[in-house]
Amino acid sequence: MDRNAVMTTWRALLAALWLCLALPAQAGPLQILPNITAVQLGVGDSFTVFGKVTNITGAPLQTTDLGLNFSGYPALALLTTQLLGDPDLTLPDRSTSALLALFEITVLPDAVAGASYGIEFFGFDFSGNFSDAATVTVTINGAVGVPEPSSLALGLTALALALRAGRRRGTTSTSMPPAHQPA
Amino acid sequence: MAATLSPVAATLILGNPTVIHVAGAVRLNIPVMNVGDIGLVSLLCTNISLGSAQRSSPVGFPIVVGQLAASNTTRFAARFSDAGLVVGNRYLLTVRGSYVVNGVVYGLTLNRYVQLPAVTVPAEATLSARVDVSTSTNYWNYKLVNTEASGSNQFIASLALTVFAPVTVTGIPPGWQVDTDNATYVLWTAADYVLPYPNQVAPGAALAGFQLMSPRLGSEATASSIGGWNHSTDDAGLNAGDYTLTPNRFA
Repeated sequence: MDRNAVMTTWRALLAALWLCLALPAQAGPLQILPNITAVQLGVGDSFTVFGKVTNITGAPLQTTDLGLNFSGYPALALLTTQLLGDPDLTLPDRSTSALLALFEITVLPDAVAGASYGIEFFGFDFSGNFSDAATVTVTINGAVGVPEPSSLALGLTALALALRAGRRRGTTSTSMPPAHQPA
Repeated sequence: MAATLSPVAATLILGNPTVIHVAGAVRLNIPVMNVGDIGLVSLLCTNISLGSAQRSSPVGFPIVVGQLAASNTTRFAARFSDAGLVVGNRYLLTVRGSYVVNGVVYGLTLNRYVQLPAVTVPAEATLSARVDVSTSTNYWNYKLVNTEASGSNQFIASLALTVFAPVTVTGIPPGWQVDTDNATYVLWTAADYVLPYPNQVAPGAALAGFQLMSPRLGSEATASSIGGWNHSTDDAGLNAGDYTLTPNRFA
């Protein structure tokens, strides 16, 4: 075997080794993936986040075996409510569920128009298996500094009234007799 | 420009709670575990729910935890009516709260399903009694209610409150006395020394007139203890521990 062949063989072996090491880490035994990562909502809105649950824990699970934990969102702006588990469904081992209702997001009155809030969540089962954390970003409808429609309508009405009043004043002054004009 | 917050996660979970189903009530002792690497500060519990069951304790919130270091656990007690609940069914236990990172208050919602066990007799007998609380600006009023069955020998002889705010005792029922350091505890006791202890609260009876004043406006849930006296043995009787509302330590 010549020198080039040896070098080629070594390169191939190194490449194979690198590929093996570079393989992505295997996912955990429990995966809960939402079908959205961002949503735009208004104050008072509620929104249901759906997602799929993958069970490779080695045993079947019920959806009521799973708890979801939420954090990282402003306490006065958002409310999160777990829906997973209602209804109670079986998740066979080595299976991925259909789309399930995972949780509901409600936007509270203290949410700021135009702001974006992240909700980080993860799930766990009774056996201590954890899913990776996932984030859903909620952007609140509206932009700061843009008046609300009701304010805008009021402003335009006031402007129209002012213009009309000004025009009437102008008409009256030109029709006054000269004797009443100030000197 | 509106504030944009980035997620600051808290890795807390609900541990397996102790669930005791006694006649008419479900009692839970709920461990909350910090399984993350970072401690939390200014941790509050702001609500506890069990499905749609009616909560009888705590009567109000917040419960102030303060710091919860990594790998540490804190516990909350809660009691619900079992009306409408079915033995063997699972109900979603939810603990809501908040914590502070860099001056920002973040929300927290922890969930876990719990199965309702069959009705059992509690391993340790407790006094059947409660404290009703009402508040008005700067005042906290308490009423002791002895819910022991008629004919019980368990009378109420004391009420102890844990407080975390400056307080002044402004209400002492006739025939009772008080001991307090005005900052951490208040203890009212019936000023009786011999049977039949006429000032103690008999089964089925209630006694109001316990009052605190504080410069604080808000409330928080803190521990309270009702002490019983057994008229049959003329000795210390059963006790009842619970949360009640007292002046808030912060505002």
